Amino acid sequence: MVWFEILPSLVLTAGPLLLVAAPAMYISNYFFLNGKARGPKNIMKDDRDYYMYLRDRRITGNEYYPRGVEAIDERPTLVKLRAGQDVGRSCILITMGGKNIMLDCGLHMGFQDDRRFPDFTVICKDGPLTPYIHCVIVSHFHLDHCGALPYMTEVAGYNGPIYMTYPTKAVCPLLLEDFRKVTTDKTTQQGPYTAEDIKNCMKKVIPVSLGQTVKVDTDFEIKAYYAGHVLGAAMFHIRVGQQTLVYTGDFNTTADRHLGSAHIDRCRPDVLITESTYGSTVRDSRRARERDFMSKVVDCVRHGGKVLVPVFAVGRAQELCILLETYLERMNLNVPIYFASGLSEKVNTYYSLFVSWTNEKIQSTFHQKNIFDFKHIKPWDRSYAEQPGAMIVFASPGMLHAGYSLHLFKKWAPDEKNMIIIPGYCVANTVGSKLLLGQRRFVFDGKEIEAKMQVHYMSFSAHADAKGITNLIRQCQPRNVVLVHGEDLVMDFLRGRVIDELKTPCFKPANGETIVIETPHGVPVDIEPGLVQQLKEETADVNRPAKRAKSMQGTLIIKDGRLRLVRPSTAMNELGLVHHLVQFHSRFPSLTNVRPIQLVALVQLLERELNSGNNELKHRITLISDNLLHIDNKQLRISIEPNGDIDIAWTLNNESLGQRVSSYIKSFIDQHMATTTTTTISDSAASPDPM
Amino acid sequence: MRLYCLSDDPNLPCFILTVNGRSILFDFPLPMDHLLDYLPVPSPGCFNRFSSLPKYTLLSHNKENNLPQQIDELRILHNQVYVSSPIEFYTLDSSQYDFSLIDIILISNYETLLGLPYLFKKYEHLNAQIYLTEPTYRFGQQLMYELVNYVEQQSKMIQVNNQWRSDLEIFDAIEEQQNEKKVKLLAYAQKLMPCYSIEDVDKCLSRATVVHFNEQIDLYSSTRASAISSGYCLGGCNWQLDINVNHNQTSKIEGSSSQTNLARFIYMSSSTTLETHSSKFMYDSFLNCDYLLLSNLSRLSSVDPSVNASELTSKIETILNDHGSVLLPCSSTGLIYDMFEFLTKFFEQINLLSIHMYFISPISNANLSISNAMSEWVSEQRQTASFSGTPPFKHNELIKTKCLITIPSDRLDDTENLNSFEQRCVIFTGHTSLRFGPVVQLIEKLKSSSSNGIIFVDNQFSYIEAMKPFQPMNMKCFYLPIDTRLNFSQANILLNDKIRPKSVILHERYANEINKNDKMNLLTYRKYDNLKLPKVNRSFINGQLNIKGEMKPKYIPSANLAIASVHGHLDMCDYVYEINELNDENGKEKNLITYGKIDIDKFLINLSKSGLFGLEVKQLPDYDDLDDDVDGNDQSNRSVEIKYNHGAAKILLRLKQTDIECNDPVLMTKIRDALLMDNIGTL
Repeated sequence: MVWFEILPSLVLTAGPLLLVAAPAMYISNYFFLNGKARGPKNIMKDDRDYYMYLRDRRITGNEYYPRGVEAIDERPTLVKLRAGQDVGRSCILITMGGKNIMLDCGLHMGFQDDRRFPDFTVICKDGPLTPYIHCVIVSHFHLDHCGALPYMTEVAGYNGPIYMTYPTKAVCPLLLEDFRKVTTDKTTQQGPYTAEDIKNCMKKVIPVSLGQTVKVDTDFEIKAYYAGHVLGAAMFHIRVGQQTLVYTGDFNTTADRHLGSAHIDRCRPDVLITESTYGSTVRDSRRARERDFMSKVVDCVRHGGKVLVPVFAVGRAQELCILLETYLERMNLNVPIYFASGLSEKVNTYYSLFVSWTNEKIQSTFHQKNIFDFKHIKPWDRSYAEQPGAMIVFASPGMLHAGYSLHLFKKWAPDEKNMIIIPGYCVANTVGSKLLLGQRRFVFDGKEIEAKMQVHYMSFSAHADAKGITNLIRQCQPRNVVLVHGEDLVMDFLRGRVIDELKTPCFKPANGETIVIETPHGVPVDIEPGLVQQLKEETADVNRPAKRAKSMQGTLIIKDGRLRLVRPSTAMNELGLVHHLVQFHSRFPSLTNVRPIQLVALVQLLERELNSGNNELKHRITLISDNLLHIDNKQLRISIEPNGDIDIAWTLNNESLGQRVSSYIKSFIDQHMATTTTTTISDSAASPDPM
Repeated sequence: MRLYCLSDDPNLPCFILTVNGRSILFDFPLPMDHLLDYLPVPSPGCFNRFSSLPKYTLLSHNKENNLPQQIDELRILHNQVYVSSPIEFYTLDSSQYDFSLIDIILISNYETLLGLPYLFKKYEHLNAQIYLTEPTYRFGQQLMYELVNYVEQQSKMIQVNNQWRSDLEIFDAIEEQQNEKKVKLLAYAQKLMPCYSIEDVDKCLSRATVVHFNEQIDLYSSTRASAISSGYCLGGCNWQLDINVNHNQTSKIEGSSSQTNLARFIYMSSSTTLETHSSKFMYDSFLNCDYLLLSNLSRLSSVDPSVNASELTSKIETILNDHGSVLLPCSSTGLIYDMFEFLTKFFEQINLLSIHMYFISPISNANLSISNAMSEWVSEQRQTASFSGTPPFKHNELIKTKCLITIPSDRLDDTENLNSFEQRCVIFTGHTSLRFGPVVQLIEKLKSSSSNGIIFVDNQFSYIEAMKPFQPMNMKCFYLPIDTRLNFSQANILLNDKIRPKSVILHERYANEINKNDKMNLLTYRKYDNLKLPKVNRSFINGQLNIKGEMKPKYIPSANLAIASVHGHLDMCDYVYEINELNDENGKEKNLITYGKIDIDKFLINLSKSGLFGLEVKQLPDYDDLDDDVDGNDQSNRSVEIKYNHGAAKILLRLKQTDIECNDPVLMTKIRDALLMDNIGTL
């Protein structure tokens, strides 16, 4: 899990409204319960279809998974959660801008007891979680992303908002219910949660549409983007105050036969949390895989063999069905295809109810032809197993450990004409995985069966590969990248790539690790237009570097949690304060006996003295009239009084300038005096005018 | 900000808003009011009795051969002039505004976009992006297809000869001949254009960007739009524009919602507070908006739709009990979804079994399947259904049980199909103007029997005018309009008690019906008015303050606020204002701002502390503040002159200004420090 936390560096306390100063805001990010680092060695991280873990738990029931370390943080504002070493569970907790957000609430299949759920007692020892978590966001309906939700809301107690997309909300209870049935002990009726819990939990879910900006709270918004992993999978953009974060969930960047590709705006979030399942591989094209699949199927069927494709009810099953359906239509192959699964028929209706979540091609044609009403694919009946001749059967579950698929496997395995294609990955100890490892002799119910059928493995999982992930990062342009949901080595590889190629700081938090990501953000202020206007006027005729260097003087007024930046004079007026002008003068007595000093001469002098240096700021010297000279727009005035005195006046803020100018002029006058005394005679001879 | 109003009918809204140098077109409906001047055209292959009507003869006019001139396209029926030609349309655009300059088109529902293909056909350089919701896109597309379909089959049948239209003399002659009766069609006859084609529709819709409710769309940097549910139909929305008003600059809208420089412009089109099948009307974000453009209210001022709905059922019951068929001319989408379910339930209640409902339209099947795929846009109640895996509407079920029969064809053959309507049934079909579509044929078929009935639920067209060409007819006729849009009293409640906009813009026809209110600025428009909207002044620019070091604000108890002096650079890049504080302690000190008065006694003590003795203190006559109200005797308000060391330093203290005259920098620093130490306030 990840924590994000903005330490509110600029705290505006209520009441007296004081700015408890600090330099910049930053997000701190605490990881936790991320999972994936030290799973069972023999699990190939290939496909993370929910069912695998589900059934895996039943079959292996192992206890590979050590309890995790605790995230320790002394800051009282933080809620601590236990960290764990999990496989395939997503549950990330972030704190940003003082809001605690839970991203996904996944289930862990390695445990039989309550340890399969995230340990909510770390958030609070007992009592409801509602005060500690502001919202829960679920990215898609796979159990490793939403499985612990009913436990969280009903058992641990959480009443706050839960956000998921419309299709997720629709499909999620089906899978939860299925999981509940599988895990509930038939005799004691003890289970993780009850059917009632699932119902109550789903009532708390607020459905979200793509692109819709949902206001969770004031200055707290979430927005969903299309992720393409399964129906209704979404990436979430979260904004709290100034800070933004994108959580991808699982995503797929290449469109397939029924879903589109993931898409995100160039939203430049502070942090991007991305999955990295296929972070180190670049996969071959979908077309090549499909062609391979079809040629194998057709080859087998032509020889009168039976093809068994163990699949899970949701997701890839539809993809393969569409593939077969369109292919067979084109090839004019007359082979019966069956679909053996309890859930699938219902799931297919969801696909047609949420057509806008499928790919563009389906969307544009659905009102003419519903692609999910398969013409050639018929529901399975047990009697079909005895039918002779070729057929293609999709059967659940996908790992051959129970149900239809295992039943058919037992029947068909001994015949070498038959074929089995495993489209996803299989968890250790299942028949599927043993088969893939090369085992050919199995014992079922005391009978030995030798599998002579052809065995093929083909991955059809819908995750982005290394290219896809980097493309997404490039498109999204985050300031920081955080990798989750991948194996350690994979994440290492990807991290290096992100840092080297994309020049983006990248984090690969280990389990239980807490990372802090600083996100420097300014404080929003309201600027008085007059202030901008004044600056514009002051810099109207200066060159660019001078404009850049021009400093601004303003007054910040903090009231009712609102910050306003105004001109000092405006602030004075507003507060009823009277400006008191403190002006310094240097006065040089008139030189009545000699020729008076011309201001023009002074301009030359000052230009030389003040603006000769390279690095220093240039001063603007303006001759207003014969006896008045301004420097830097009235910052300093040199005037010749009617009695001939030279008066240099400057304000409090220009002390050094004033003193410099006055010293220059003083020395100039001294010089002038000296020269005039010597040249007076010649001068007066030349010009008898006494002035 | 200017608003250009293009339509004279508030139910045919079309506006152009220009803001920050960009033009936004709100809706582009297709005017249909002229359809009633056309003769009905049955489907091809059917008997067309209207084609044999007498041609219009101009008595007075004779050019070459002194014979009365006949105009092929104009026919006389029931003493009224009708046009006999394929339906043509005119659009709302005017030459007063260059439509190719439009940047953005915002569409509120599928009824208000039917004119768009004309716009893209006519203005080749128009490069605008169309924003609409998904149901609006899909149903709008279907409705356009339907229109094209109906008109195409007409044009195959009828020869066009529209030369008369270009001859203004003929116009004069007709007017003269019809003297008393005004011939409306002459007003628009020259503007008529043949209907657009499927290609035009596709070309236009390729510009569409599909959005969702509450999606924030950055139209361009200073304007953000979002579609807010209007409750009127699937995907029907009102548009909210957040406009940055600072100095008319295109300042960027930042993510933060606590924005103070945004003006909110609401374009309210068809909306309803009634619960229908679509998601409900949301107006939370409209509250206290700056501008509200109100259009498309109900055509009926007071009739409650539910009253007419129950009336409708009883009328249908009577007709069916009489073994007649009910003909309901209606639009192919929207209200009918409610009607199907409503009537099925009603039939079950009164035990009228085996009644077939027919839905005849080329787009009937498409519309039904689209409506069922719009699970995210239906009411919450229906959403719950879709979450449990059943479609939001019951069409599929009805079709399965043969309660509802769809005929997805654009024509009805005289032979087989029509016979099935002789049994009692309910028929939904279009077009509501009764001028084209299967409805023409059905009326001809059913009108002879008095047991049949036609019920008008749509009030876009006058039903008397619509039926005129079909007279005489025996069938019963009822007018039970169901218009769910807001009526005036609802609009009044909404405006005055809830939304409370600062300015309301509405058609002058609505002005008398809407209660005026001191706080509400009422602007009325007429056709081709170009309104200048009152300016909204927001006194601040949004900026970002990046604080480097520590900031020590000073708390001022009297005003309950804190102030701090900021010294930094103000950068403006891409219209984003950013203040970077200078981390420069000297700079801060240099930029002191002094306020208040100087305590002279304290100042003198401070001066002596810093080693300045022998000061000459002199009170001066207060020439500065003579006309001030301040009591002249008050010591503190008088000017004081302090001299040190025979004029080595001269300090003049006045109420608002202190002048220190001194040529010695060291001495000057001393005086300055003495002045600032615990004396006048500094920032």
